[in-house]
Amino acid sequence: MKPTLSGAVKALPFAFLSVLFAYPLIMILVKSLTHGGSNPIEPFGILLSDSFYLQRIWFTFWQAAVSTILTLAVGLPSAFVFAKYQFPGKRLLLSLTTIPFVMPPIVMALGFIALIGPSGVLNAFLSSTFELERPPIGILNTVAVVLIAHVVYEFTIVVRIVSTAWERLDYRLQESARVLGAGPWATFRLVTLPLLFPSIIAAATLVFMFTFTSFGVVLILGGSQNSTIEVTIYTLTAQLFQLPLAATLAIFQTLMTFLIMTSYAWLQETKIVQIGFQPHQKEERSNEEKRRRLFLGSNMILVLIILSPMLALIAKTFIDENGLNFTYIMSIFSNTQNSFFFVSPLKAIMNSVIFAIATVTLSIPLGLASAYAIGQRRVWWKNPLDGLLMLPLGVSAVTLSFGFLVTFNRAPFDLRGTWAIIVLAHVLIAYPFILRILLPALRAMNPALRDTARVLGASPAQVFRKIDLPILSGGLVIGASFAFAISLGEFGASLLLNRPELTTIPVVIFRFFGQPGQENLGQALAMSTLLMGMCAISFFVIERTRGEDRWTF
Amino acid sequence: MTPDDRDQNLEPFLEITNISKRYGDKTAVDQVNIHIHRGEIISLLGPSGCGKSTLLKIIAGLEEFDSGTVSLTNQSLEGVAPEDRNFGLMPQDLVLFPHLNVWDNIAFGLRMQRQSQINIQSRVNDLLTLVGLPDQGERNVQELSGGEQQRVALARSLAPEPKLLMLDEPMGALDRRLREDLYLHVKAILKEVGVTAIYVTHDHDEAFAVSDRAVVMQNGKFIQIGTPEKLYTTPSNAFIANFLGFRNIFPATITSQPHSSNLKTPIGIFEVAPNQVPRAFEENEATLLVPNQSITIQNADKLTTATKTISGVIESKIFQQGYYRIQVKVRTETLHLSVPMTTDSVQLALGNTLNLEIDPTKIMVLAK
Repeated sequence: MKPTLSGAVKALPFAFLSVLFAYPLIMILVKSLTHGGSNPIEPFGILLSDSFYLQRIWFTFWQAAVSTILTLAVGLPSAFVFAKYQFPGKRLLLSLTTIPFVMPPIVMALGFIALIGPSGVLNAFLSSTFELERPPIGILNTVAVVLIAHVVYEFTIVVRIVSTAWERLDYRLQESARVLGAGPWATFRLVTLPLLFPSIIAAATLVFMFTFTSFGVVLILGGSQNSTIEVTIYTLTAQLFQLPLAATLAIFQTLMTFLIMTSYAWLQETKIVQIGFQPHQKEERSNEEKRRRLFLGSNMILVLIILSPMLALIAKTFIDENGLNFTYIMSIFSNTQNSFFFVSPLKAIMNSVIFAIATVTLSIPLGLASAYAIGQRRVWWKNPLDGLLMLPLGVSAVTLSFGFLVTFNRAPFDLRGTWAIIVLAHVLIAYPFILRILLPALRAMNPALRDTARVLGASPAQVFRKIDLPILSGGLVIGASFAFAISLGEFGASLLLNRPELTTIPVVIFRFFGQPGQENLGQALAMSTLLMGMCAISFFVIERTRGEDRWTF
Repeated sequence: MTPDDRDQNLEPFLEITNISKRYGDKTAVDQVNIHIHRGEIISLLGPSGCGKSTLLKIIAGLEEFDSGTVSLTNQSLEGVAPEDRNFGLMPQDLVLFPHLNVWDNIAFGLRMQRQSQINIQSRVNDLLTLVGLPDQGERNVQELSGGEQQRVALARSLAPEPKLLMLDEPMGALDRRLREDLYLHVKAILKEVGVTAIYVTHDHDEAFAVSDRAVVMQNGKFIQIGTPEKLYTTPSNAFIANFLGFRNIFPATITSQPHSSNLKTPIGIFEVAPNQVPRAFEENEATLLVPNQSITIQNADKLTTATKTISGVIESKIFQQGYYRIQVKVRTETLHLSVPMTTDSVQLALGNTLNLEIDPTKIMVLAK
């Protein structure tokens, strides 16, 4: 046995997090304290007595709560269909729902503009059909569009987590309830729902956390009235240079997300224990072909609605009033622009791909080591530890980058304006997903497999290589694709840490979008379509690898 | 414990001396000693949580321990990594490597030994034949039945020719009938190969069927070691008797008389010869064990005053494998007996009173 080696591996994520995560956060805290003088509580006092900030904190909470409820309302029926029915193209459909999740908010915003903007697909269709003078749908820059966008974003979380649990639910329990005299509805209410409850709560917690720290969607689509804590941090940092106040807000938000993540870790563990790997029916025995068609059809329509902003965006890229139009997509590959912010789109694509590859390379070992650090322990502080390792997921990209900027700004660690700072930010955002994907599989792995291999003559290193890695390989491929897509689509950190030579695809889209003129909008659309295509390919890899439905976060 | 494991005149192979292991304030393994001979099959018998699996892991080198030594042919195994011991392990639940097929599972240990491809080839083929699965190497382990998985797990652990094979409740996952078939098969294979083995189980039938000697373990201690016959005929205390499936076990108080001893029990007072009472607990609290063969049912009309009888009311009766298993309420206690199905069924009606004769020479007196 070599406790030292495995100890070192397990300590790696904590060392990494201390330097790249805790230290920047502490620097933010220090910044925050300088704001309040000697009393450490004072900055929070100032924050919580200012009605301007109170109003934003309140908005952050309620929009997250409403977004969560809406996403559950839309996602649960779909989760049911995905869990209970087999149909051709099921995996493809499921992977399509994941694309919005990794899209940068600027692409989402463009999608909504393409769909329900003044000359959007839906408005144009309605206007011409009913001969209206003005576009009938005018919800851009309102809370409504923010909430809808959140549903589009987080839909896949609810569907994936809940449908996986639903699929594994031991159907014999439901049969027993039926035999005991419960009708279909009573069975659902008294048996199915309580058993699914942990997974529903887990999904809801994640959705709440993501929408709680929502940035781009609110910034671009929400209008100037509506601002989350995250957007306020960005504004205070990047536009008003009120760093201490931004720091206090960032600390406040981090505390909130830590609480959310810890309860999530706890819930995920209970979920594993309660549901486990049960035998399940492949499909509801449907003598009712009509009902099956109805469900599958509605689900298909629902997914199409979820995808409609993305589809509208693709349509707008290739079609204009005169029919097919490839000039936008072609313009990506020709250097015709020369404004002051100009970065050639090709250069941005190169940057994005290189950052994504670097992110995958770093976040895989980090995610793996984190999973080992918490996967095999049975102690009370395991869940807080899990919450701690997941914290980067909850600490928004903007806070993270803000921390980087106030920390790594002195030689020899002046990382400002280097590619490393962006990649490290992406690693911190991406590796929690890898951890979440690997952890359940690692926990479900029978330790006797390793014991047997040891006794059969394998050293600890060989056990890892010959037993652990092959068994986790599916999860690793999925984690890698996820990390790749997340890095490609990451917006907040890339924007805040941006330098012209480090510009990525989402930032270029944002720049094009910010410029007037049809030409710029067209290029923004074309780049968005390209990004979507790249993410779609990476999710195609995921779905090919999902041999069994064991991999989920 | 009864240190009667030196009665076989064989060379000592694996020696376990004073092994102890604590987890926090719980003692998992407590001062355990045993010598195991080459080619011997020892079963470790005990309820779950008694420390069997922990001891197995200690022997395998997978678990640290607090004190004592484990040595193989007079060489201490201290500091020898599990992979360097050349042992075999058939774990609980028979976990096969899920990402490898049958062939690669069996070849795993051989590859770890860096054996030549030709050797691996012939060895795996031999083992597949040995366990009765010839030409099935290409199968996926997920599609194997429980019994087949068990055979593959056995082949995998035997492939590298281990010096010692440890089997940790290898039948745990299987249903009863299949178990009986399989443990006989396993025993035949172990004996054919001649491997020294430690077989952990909580099933006394399985332990007795498979092993040359059995060890009963309770709370981390070895409380009795012996051949199956010895254990069955002279269980050394109430716990062991209970664990071996004896039902009629009652607390008893011994009073010594000049030429006999009196046993006071809840079902009556019995007079036994002094040689039936082990010296250690004369004048003490003890346990009375009434084996089924010491009980006979007396017909009411043939009642003689010479024999000692006790009477009770039939509480329940079930039919099992050609016998009636009857529970008779005697005073506050329940006596279990099994009688041939040819017994007069009117006599065995529920609620009937039975007169039972208990042969004092056949009852056993055990430690408390």
